[in-house]
Amino acid sequence: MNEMWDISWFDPVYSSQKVFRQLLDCMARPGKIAELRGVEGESRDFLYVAALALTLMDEETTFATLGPGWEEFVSFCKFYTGSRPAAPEQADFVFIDGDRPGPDLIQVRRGNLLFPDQGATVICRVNTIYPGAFQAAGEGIVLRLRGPGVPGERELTVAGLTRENLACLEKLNSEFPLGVDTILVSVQGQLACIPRSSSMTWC
Amino acid sequence: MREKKVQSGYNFAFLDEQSKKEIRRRMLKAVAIPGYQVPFASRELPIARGWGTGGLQLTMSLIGPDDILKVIDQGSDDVVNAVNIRKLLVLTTGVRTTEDTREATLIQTRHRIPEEPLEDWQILVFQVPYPEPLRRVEPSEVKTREMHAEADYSRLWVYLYEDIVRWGEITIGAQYPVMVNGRYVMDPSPIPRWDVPRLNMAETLYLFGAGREKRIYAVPPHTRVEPLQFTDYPFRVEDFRGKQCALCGSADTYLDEIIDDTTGARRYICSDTAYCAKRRRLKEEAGENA
Repeated sequence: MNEMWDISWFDPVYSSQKVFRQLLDCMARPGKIAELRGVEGESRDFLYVAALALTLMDEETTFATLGPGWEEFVSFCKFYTGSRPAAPEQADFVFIDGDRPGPDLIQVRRGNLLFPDQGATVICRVNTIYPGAFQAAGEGIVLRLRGPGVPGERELTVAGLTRENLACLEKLNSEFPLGVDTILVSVQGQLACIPRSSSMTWC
Repeated sequence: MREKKVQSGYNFAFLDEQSKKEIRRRMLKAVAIPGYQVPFASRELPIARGWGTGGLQLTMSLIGPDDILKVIDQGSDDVVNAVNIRKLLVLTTGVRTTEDTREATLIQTRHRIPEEPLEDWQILVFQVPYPEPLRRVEPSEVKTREMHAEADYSRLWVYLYEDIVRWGEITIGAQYPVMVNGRYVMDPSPIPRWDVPRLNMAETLYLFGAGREKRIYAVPPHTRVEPLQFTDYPFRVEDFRGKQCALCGSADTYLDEIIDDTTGARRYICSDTAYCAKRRRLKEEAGENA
């Protein structure tokens, strides 16, 4: 059995509650960074996306993964959450690597004017997320967010996210209230959200 | 963490985990689309629909063993609705409760925002009887949903205009319609006008749950919330000039009018009873030290 398939670190009642509260806090305060402390275990590529899947997904939801390398994660989600794989344009949750091109990303569901909440949730795996403009490391994109939940402007630096994917997310969210809500999650467990209500610029 | 589990025979916080998951997903969407009403599958609870089940389901999906809970009904911690909701939550979670607004991490409320300022680590959950602000002008859910989709609020504006023509001012007291983030008109639940300005650009996350009507919506912090008004008939809050609380002497809080059954005399007391008690306590202490 693969190491990833051990989920003893995740308590279905208490871990999911902690992860959710951090998610909610980040969604209500776009660009704010949280550390997934409800989840224990050493950093592994799939640990934190798995924690989000276990927190949010069940038999009533569908999901899609974009780009290569997610095969084992798909099996994991099917087995442990009961969520069903679907085409990117139909899925409730869409997983993508921030640094890999996702040509299908532009197709994901944005909801409709009667039910904009049917827009997908995009879970984007990145390398690291720093608060503020942190370009000392010479890597990463500085994101500036404005809108509900942000007093004035909030900056964060994301490493492992391409400008193409960002531009795609911006395009998906160009017709509020239609759009997608993005959860950035780093392989180190940092979490930040970009709901569709945020407007963003980057450099 | 797990030793805090209480032996009530129910899952932690009563609801099963799949129900919580659904409600949590809806809450995230509600926060991402401020003021928009997200439909959800409202669950059966041991209290009847219309008695705060919407707020209760949100609280049950939010609460964790480390939360400190406060439940109020019309500003009071001791009214039957608040007491029963608090009892159910304590029985099924074992969390600490408080009456002190400044101490609570999670506050469930019916029809008031506590007087003391709320901060960014707190969440306020509202119990909502009627989530649809357009219901007073349109009975059909299909139509009101279309009106929200098209941001067509003209009929509500006409209603407010006619109110002014008829009565000389807008007569909606509690439940005053507000525009959220310049996009959705929202019902702030039957809070008095007094509390409406406090929804605007707040520090705290506000979550609204309507159990019978099966809707969840939200106002994130730092979000524009503007009461509907006309430039020549601006929104105003309740007028308590010249009145003060008969118990604590406060002249800057929302007051309830109490009429004596036998003498017919009127007096006023703070609606936020915990804040009123705190003020009296501070006064007494100051008196003792003097």
